[in-house]
Amino acid sequence: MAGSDERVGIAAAALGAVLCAITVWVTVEGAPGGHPWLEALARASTVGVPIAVGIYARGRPPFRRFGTLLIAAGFAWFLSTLAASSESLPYSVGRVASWAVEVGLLYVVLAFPTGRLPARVDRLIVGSAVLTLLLLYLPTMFLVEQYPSPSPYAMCDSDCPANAFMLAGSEPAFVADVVRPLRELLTVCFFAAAAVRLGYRMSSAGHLTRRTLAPVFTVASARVGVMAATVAVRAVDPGAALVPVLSWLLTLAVPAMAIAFLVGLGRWRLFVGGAVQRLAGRLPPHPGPDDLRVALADAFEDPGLEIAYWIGDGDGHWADAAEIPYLPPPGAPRSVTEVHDGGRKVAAIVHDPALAEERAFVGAATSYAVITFDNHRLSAQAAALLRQVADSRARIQATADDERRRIERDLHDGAQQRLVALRIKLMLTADQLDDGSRDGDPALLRTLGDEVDTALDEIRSLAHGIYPATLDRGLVEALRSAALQGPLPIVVHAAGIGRYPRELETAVYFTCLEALQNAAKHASGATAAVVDVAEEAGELRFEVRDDGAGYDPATAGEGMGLTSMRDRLAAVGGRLTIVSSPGHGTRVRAVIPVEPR
Amino acid sequence: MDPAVRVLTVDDQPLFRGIAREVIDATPGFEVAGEASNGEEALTAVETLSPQLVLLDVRMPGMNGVEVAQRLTASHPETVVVLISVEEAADVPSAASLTERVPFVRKRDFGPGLLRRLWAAYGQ
Repeated sequence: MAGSDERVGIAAAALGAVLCAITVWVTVEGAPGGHPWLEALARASTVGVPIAVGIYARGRPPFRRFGTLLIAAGFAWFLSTLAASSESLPYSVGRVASWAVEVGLLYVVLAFPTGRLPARVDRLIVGSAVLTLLLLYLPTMFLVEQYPSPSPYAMCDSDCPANAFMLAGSEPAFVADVVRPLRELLTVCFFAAAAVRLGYRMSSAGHLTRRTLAPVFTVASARVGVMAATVAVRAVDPGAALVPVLSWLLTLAVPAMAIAFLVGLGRWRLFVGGAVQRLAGRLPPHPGPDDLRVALADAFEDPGLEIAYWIGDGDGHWADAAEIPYLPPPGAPRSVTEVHDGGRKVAAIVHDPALAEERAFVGAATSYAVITFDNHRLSAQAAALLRQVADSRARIQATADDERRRIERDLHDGAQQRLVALRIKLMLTADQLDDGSRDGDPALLRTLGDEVDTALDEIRSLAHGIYPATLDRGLVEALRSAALQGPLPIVVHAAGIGRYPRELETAVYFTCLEALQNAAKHASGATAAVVDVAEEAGELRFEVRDDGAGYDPATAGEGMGLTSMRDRLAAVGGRLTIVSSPGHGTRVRAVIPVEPR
Repeated sequence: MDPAVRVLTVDDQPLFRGIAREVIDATPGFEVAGEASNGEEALTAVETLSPQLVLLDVRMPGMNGVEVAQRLTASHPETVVVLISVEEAADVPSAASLTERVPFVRKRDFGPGLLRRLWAAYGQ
């Protein structure tokens, strides 16, 4: 693309140079006197400057079409410079071509800066001008002996060459009386309408468009003034010294307009470049979606700029940052630039249409948007994860507190009461032996000894529940020991399982214990349970399965027990999975990463 | 011979109710009026059985012993109310406000001697 663009640019420049040279030669050849080189320079500039500006405009994507248009206009305007010749044919061609200059000028002024006529009224103005050209200008080329003079396109006055296209015998009177004044008036009106249109566009457009159009509006308005003055002065006093001055002003209006285009384009480029820098400066280090909107609207001076997000995946909808469905605002037309991240539609930026094709804006806006949304998504994920961790910690702490309460209660209600009763009994027996109301009886002491046994058993069981001593000898020992003590027959398969860090063994032991207790309590019809422990590929896996009735985990929900199992495992980096279905028993599986030994 | 002092035992622990019964039975001059396992039952039992001495465990589910003691001293000022617990007195500060009229004893000290001393000090 860039390569062919360059070639077109070079070709246009070369052709432009050739045409300028021809213009200079024609002008110098045909000059009646005075300052031929000055005139040649002026005429060449009406060809060269538009072509040069057009080539420059083509280099910037929003203005490519306009650039091409301007180059074409430059080539067309070359023909009008032939009117400087003293030969009849080139002079006539030049004079006829010069009529089209007005239409061309109208078109480029209204089509600036995109190269397209923005509204119907613009097309109306240009259409009417073309119609005027076709009806009031072109037919007269066959009817007049002499083209009107003086004119901006020819310096000759009374010594102009004759019309080479004259077909009629003589010039009809109505051409000079009716057609010419009418068409001059209409031309001025059309150009005035164009200036008004520019003014209207500027008043209702964003800051950027206004700055870009301002120079063109200034030159166009000035030209309207000069055109009106020319018509007026020529009507009143054709020989006035002012007329040639006004003519020159009209001639130079073409390169002046081209320079106004250049200034406008330059302002655009400056603004956009500055805006991209301002954008980078305005964004905080970790921008949220609203920071981006504010920064974009500010940097590009488009206060109505909005960002909408795509909610949902396949058939979703657009919504704003507060997740309220988004509706485009009524009124001024807006452009939408969609932001995609990895092929997925993520957001859309609604902005001033003038920026729609400006690559610098689209590029900056979409890259920042992608980063912002990524940031936002990652922050949201991180926040969610942090909340999960905080919740898990709170649960673990609450569980620990509950454990303590349970231990205290078990001690109080169990062993402590037993020992108190024992003491009372002992004192009572001692009193009775003292006062002789009871005979010494070894059997009594044995009974009291049995009571001590019961108390000891209770304490032992409680201690075991707090931390089984067997766990110090390893996970496998502890599991086998627990297997012997449950109501269900339990088989433990743990071949090749060695020692692990204490937190890990504790977590696995208590999780298995809870799973076994659940199986004993809830698995109706279970005849046995199996505990399978294995290490492979850097992970410790275990499964507790029973042959009970099973259940549907999806509908049953998780109780406190399962949650605390998950929490315990999560604290050592592990994960729990329940596989169960009615009639197929239950499997409680867990996976914990371990350091390879 | 004075009629036996009727004692009501209030404790959620069946173990202590059992041993209290043994002690009361072994103490001449005292007899078991009845048992209750919580505060509500205790208040009802006091109405129906009219015991002269009430042994109240401090730690019970629902209304705890101190509350029951407060109510009983208000509604039945002639009844001797004794707070009893495995805890030490320092562990039950709320009982401190009642110690004038309501003694606090440790469960482990309970026996015929303690029973007689309590009745001698607070009864009649």
